Amino acid sequence: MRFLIFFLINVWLFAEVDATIRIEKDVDQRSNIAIVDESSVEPYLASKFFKILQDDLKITGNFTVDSTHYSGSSAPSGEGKDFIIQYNFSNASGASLNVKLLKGSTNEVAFSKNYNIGSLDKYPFLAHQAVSDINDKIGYPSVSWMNRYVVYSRYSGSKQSQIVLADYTMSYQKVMISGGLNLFPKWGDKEQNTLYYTSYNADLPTLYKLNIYSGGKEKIASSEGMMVCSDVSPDGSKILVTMAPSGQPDIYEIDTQSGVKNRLTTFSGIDVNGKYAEGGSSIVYISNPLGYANVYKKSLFGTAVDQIVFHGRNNSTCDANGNKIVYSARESSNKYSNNQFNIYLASSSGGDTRPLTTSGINQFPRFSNDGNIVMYIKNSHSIGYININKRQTLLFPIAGNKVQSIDW
Amino acid sequence: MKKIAFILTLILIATGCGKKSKVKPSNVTNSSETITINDGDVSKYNNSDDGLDGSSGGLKSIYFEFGRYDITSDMESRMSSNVEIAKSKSSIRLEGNCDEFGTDEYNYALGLKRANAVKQSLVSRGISADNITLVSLGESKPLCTQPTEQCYAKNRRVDFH
Repeated sequence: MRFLIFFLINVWLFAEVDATIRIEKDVDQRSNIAIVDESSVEPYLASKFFKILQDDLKITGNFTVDSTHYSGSSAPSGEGKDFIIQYNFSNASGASLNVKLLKGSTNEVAFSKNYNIGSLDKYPFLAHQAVSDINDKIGYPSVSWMNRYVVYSRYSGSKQSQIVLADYTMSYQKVMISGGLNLFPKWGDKEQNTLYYTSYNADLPTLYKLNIYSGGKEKIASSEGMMVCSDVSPDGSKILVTMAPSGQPDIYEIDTQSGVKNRLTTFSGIDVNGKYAEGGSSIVYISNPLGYANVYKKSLFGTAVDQIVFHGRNNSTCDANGNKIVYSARESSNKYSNNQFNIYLASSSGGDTRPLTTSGINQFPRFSNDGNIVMYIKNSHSIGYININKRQTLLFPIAGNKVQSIDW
Repeated sequence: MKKIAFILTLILIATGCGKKSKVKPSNVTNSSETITINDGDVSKYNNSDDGLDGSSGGLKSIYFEFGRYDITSDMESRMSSNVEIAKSKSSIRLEGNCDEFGTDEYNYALGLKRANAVKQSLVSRGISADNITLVSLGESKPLCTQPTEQCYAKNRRVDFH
């Protein structure tokens, strides 16, 4: 009977189709939109900016985007279009953008706004902010997540790494921390003013909190063996860390004001990757009591531990947002090549499991702050985004070395 | 026969006559050279002195199987040798390492469990725990970056310093 139930669950799970290829019949709810470029920048930059605008509109899941790169002289008629975006992008004195949203039927201006940014390198953020504002103006659910920074660490050599700031498309990238081994960047507050990261450049792995604007940094804690900030509570007052003061990796909660540490897990194997879930009343995390990595949940007000994933050969990373979790599962028994890692979405109580990817090596799933988008790394060389409600996906290449950890 | 000898010669030249050279991670690109061991027996090369050991001071690295952190019996001679050297040292730093197949935190915890397993073994053989420090370097310090099973196995290790 148990086998039958297991079999039926698997049939149900794998009968689902990859979100990347499943297009829901929700096109009627999407607005048809065309983009008219009235800029006079060099063609390479014009093309890049147009592509970012186009991708921003697509990933919202709220627009059916005309792929033609129209210029002012070849502007389309409004027929068949709900909206037309006219924009003028300039790279004089940093970067600036004038955007107008026209109603397709009447050519009436529904929205107009100017944007400026001091550094030309940051021009992708002009597109993200404009699309976010246009999306709001039309009345769709917010996509302000696209205005946020992504921060990630990447290896640059043996015991060498860099911590890099980027926009979500990786079009903008700036190395923030380099020299030695600095890992596990994690945003310290909702506003993305501060960042936790671990330095391996002293005798003990040491957790720092860095103000990315002032450059000031504060030592939070250090531990023999390892030290990682896995999550920050919504109000920033507490953090979940994995540390090992006696050689045993366990999850602790640290009060950032008092510095008081509270050990949350005591299993003799591996406990890592603690994430606040269910409004901060519980944590989901990775543990290996059955001999392989899997996703577990523990109430912060009790001792009971629940296994919440029951498939996959090795599920070594997860994230949580409210009552939802995402995790990466190794699908096959191959140790190395030809392995598949797929991302799954599930409820924090273990039900409603749904695959978000169906092929390749998909790892490091991370929710957006609103829980509507899942970011992940595909085949080590691309960063992907899945709009889980709209079933819309996008992939962007990541230049450079292997990603070690990522947050946004 | 001459043809066969000629082909074999070409193969030997193409594969560098089977010679293992020191590999600097930063120099490795997508080399066509691959050495694949199909039976998964790590002891065949773990016990060979090919210059790729990550330890120092005459101590020898301890190697681990995929995803595991228990010390296998074929590492016994290395542990015994290390204990003799460790007795004369005032401090030992154990660095746990992993191959590239884990993700972020879990891989660092795996490296730490490996280092801790070696520490417990040293302590059980008379080395003072107070003289031993642990750190996990995860997959950040590979000795070998070729995409081969042999290479991955060289990175699943604990180094002594």
